[in-house]
Amino acid sequence: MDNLLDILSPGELTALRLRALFEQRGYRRYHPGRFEEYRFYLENQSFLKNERFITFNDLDGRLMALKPDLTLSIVKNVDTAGGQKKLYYMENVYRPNATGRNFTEISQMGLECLGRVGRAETNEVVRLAYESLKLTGEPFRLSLSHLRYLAGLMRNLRLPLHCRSALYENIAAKNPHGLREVAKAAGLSDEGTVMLEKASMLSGAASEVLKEAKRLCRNAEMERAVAQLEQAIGGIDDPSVLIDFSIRGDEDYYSGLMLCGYLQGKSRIVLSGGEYDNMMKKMGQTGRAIGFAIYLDELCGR
Amino acid sequence: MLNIALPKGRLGDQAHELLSCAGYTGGNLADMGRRLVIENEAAGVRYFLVEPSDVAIYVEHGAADIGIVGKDILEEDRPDVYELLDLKLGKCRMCAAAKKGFYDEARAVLRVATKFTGIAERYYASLGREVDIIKLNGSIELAPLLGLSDVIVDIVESGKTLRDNDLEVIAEIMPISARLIANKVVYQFKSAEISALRDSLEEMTND
Repeated sequence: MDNLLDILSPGELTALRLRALFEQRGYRRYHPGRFEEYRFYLENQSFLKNERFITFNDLDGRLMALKPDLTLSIVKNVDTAGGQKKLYYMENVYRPNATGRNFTEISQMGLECLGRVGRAETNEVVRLAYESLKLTGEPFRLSLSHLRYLAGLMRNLRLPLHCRSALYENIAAKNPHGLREVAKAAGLSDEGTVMLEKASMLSGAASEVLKEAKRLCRNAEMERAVAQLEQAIGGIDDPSVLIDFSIRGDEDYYSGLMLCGYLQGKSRIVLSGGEYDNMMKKMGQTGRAIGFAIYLDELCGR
Repeated sequence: MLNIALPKGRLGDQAHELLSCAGYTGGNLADMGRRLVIENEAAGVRYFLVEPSDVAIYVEHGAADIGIVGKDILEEDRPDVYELLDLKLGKCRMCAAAKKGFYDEARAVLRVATKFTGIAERYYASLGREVDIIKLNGSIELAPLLGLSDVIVDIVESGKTLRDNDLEVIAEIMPISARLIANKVVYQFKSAEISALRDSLEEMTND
């Protein structure tokens, strides 16, 4: 029985290593149930970016759904009053597959820090995301963004609210020609358009991009966003850590920092997350929150 | 090495010509015969010739790093890829057309024949118009002539096919041209190579 680990598949081994990493840093495993009331997900559709769930009637007649997401349930169910909760989970979630024709079971691990979350905790979660990718042993990239950077610039440029989602759509696609068209239609000056294009297309090695991002700041909101990015990656000196302002998140839920992880040779992202203080507020919780999910099926190349 | 998906046909030829001028030639595509992959190690490129509607699929799934695809296909399929540059090739328009003199009184559900069901659905939803979408795979112009549909949504280049069949454009939905797209994960690892290629192409398309 000496080589017990030999019987594990690479995926199981990675999951075990991730568990060990999270446990060593004081995160405790959380076991959410498999289902929630259907109406709970209906109320939070914009976060889930999907309106189709596997549903069934419970014995008391309530319409239930197999969980399409775990963060929502954790925020709803965990009591953070006055304290701090450091949790991780390893569960399956159920969502429509890429074709949209069938449901699929997705094996997911995630880590959440809720309640009293300051600079140290934010830095710790970013470092754990970085170490999670690193322990795969594959070439990786961890990209960070901050939602308030471009939001601050758009406020400074007085861009009307109704055109911002079209602008963000083009920013997420790194589509400068589309961005220019929407900016022109919104009546933005040539100088403003150049500024918006420069800032929103910024991406690359963190140290260089942050310097340029700082130079382009036009108000305190943008400066705070850059400062928070600097603090978040403080102590991680690795060219695999990037800044990329094309990473977006729904502002009803996400509040600032965003994370995205990539492994070479995979076609989809393997890690995503961010600060979701707005979701905490929405769910009636006090305090802040940051976390990320790791898609084990993508990570282990199912 | 950059893996590039090119659409078979005229657009692919034009795109390859542009890429060749920018220093990314794959050789003579006409000499490829039935081969679907051509490589130029010195230029650091490998080309795949695929069906135009499959380019974005190859790129989204990472089988190709980048690709050239029409905006019509991007709008229809909405793949999760970066859209890095408008190549200004293969310019045309996505239009709604109907028999000459057609007037939509909006009394009944509008019957729309098209290959681009997603684009048609989103366009009429934006107008608040209730429609019945009829998916066709070709000869779309025939549908209003035979009474299969009230209008069609299709790509219009010169407008000659419409005129020859006594049809006319009733609305322009969006301009169409070829776009350079990239896989989102690959971009993180080959951003320098992809950006260099993008910038060379931009310089040439701005001339």
